[in-house]
Amino acid sequence: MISISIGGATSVYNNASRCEILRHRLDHPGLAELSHSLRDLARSLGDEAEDDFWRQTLGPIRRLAFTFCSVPLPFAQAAKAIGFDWNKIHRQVKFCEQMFPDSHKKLEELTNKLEQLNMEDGSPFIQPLEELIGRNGSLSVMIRNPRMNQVTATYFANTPSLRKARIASAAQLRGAHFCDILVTIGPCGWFPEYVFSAPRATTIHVISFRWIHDDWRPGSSFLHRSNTVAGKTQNHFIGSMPRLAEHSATSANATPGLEPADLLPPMPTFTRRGAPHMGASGGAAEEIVPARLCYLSGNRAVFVPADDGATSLIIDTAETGLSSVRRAPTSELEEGQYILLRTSGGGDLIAPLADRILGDLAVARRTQQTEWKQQLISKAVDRFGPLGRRELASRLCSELRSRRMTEARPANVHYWMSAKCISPRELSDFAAIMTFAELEDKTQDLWAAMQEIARAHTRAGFLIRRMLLQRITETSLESLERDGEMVFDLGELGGGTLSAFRIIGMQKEHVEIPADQLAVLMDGED
Amino acid sequence: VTPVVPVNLHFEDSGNWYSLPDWAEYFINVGKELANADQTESRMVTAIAVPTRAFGAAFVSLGMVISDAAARDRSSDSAHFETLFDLPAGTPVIYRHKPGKTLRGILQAPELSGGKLYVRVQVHNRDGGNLTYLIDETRAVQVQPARHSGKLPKKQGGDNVRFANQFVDGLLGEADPVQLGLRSKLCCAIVGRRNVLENEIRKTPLAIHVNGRHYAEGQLQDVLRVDRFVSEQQSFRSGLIPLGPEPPSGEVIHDIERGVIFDGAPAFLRWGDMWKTRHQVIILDRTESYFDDAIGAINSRYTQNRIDSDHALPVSTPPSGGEILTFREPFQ
Repeated sequence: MISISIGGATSVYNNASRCEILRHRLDHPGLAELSHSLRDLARSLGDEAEDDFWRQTLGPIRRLAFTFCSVPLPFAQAAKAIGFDWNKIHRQVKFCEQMFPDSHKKLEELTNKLEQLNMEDGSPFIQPLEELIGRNGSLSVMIRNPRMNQVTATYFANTPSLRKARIASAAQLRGAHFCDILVTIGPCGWFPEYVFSAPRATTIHVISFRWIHDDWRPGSSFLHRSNTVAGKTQNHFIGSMPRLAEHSATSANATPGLEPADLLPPMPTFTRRGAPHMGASGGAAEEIVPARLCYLSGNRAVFVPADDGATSLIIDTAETGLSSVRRAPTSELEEGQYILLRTSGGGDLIAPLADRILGDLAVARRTQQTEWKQQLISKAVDRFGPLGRRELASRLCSELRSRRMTEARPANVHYWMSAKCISPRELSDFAAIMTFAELEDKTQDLWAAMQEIARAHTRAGFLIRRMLLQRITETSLESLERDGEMVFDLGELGGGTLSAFRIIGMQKEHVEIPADQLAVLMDGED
Repeated sequence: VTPVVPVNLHFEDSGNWYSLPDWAEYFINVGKELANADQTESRMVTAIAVPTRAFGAAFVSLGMVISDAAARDRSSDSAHFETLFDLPAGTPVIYRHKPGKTLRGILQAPELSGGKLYVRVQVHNRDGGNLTYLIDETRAVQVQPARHSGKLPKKQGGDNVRFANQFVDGLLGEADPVQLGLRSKLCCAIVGRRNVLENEIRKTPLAIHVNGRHYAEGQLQDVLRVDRFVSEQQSFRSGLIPLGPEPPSGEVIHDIERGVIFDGAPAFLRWGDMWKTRHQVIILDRTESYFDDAIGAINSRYTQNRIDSDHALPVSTPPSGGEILTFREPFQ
């Protein structure tokens, strides 16, 4: 939650009582025809739409059509911004003739319509925006896909008639009063309800196409339908809510045909793809780790470790000072925080930086770390057979517990075996697994070596945090809050970049994935 | 029961002081009504959806603590008088002889005068003239045993920062400021994010204005005395249960006397079932992530648990953009 003062909260309550929401319905026959054709084609395909061919064909087309309907950029510029591949679509149309001849004509017509729109000089949203700026001076504009924020903001900045428009995001509308005039591009249903039910603006203009259904109105959140119910068993009251008004000049003859969801691009599916080494059997040498899928702003996702004690580096704008950048346990990751991922330079940043801190000792210490783990796994395989890593850990844990050597749980032992873990936290646990691995005589030396690595990791984490805190202090976080992502250059810490991405959801279930897929950014729009 | 003192708070914004807005008064009143609501066989559940939950939980707690202090049982005055009567001469006490003024003192032998019993509180030493007050039963609560050396000054004006707080007196009037300062109890608890609540409760300056005049400044913490924000030497009056991996202890669950305030959807979704016999206030921010989930959980409880009761439910229109649902649940 963003901290709000009493004065700030008062402005929010004032907005709620005074805000007026005006709908502007636009016409654009070409785009309307395209939208309907696209929906009709998808419906006519039925289950076939799930076929790889159609996913790869209709996915980009739907994304482009949605971009035309939702982003105030000239069509050609919008197509370029999302990296639309015309050649690929033309190839798909040709394939379609052979693979799905019944649908070929429809697809070809659809593609032709897209190309015609792409040649248009402008976007239907630009004129209404210019008019609103002319009447009001400045305004804020919100679009559905945050990945188009940056390119749209640049377009506004370079267009004299739109220079007084700035891009806003839903996340920014959780604070105090944000602006006098807010414009949403698209129907209310494309945005979180609070944008309209808890407005941070004095006036909201909803600019959408006439053929897109939009019947949102303020109402009760609790069970009741009526505004006021007072009785013996319950009391229910609603305070004054934002007023809804149709823009008289454009509201006539509205014949919406599409639901807001009909136009949205397909939901990305993030699966464990592209992992050729991930066998179904899960051999002993293969490192499979528990993970949770973390959904990120802009149709992205990442697997985060879900071992006991696993953490991820985050920026939490609800916290202040040192707490704003910290390692948070996976169980505490939540929507609104920003997870930090290494987006260039590859992999985890902590370990390479820790190795730099260890200097000449790094190779020797890492070798020791690898060797005791390999020895442990090898002895476990000798004892229990060639089982998967999790099963091995479970058997080993049972054995150690039966010999009263440890209180650990199988998940702990599994984590100790993984390359991600340096060593157990307790010397007694470390001694137990060293005894099992027949490395008893080296326990003290190896423990000291692992402590050395752990100290270097702590120091590396500290350096990264300090650098990030410095960056955050020096830099405006507006683009982070607006776009849901931000890049931090780590030049002086060994190159590469860390990027922060807003978490928009966490998958509840744990999955098991190869360790090298952890913390790897997956893009649903690829 | 003493009448609840009207709260006349001001807040500071850009260097100027303004009267507390209506929405804040609304939350304070929700807390006051809840503190007085019957809690014998059923409890009240009050769910409030608002455009921002900022300060909502803090002001509900303020209302509960104020109302709880004002509802102090007068029959306990005579018991308190008897307790003082039985204490040995020389016992260190404080004597709050007028609002905002608190004197260190020691008890002297009680006295019967004109057929009426008095306890005697000496506040100045011999060099200061051995000034001693006679306190009858009606003012007994103004004298409280205290932890001080018993050494008396020659003179004292009553501005003892350890025991006196004009801001607290201004809010609580004659209610119970001395008790507030000396005796710990959990009138209520807030479940929520510590840093946000700390900012609202400890770091937001407030002021009391009397007849248009700036009277005293303080923070909500002066009255709420949140357990996590007081030192070991200080007493507490309310609790904070931060959102974290550890659930609240059995002691905290048991000791809360009046009600629990959930500051936001995650707080309610995580620990909304922990208190079975205490009033609940759930403050939901329309902009927060789990708003719909929390609404669903409340609707479900409303459908399944709501009971008829002879106890009246509070009637009030919420602030702009707000929605309130109140019902009673049987103890589980």
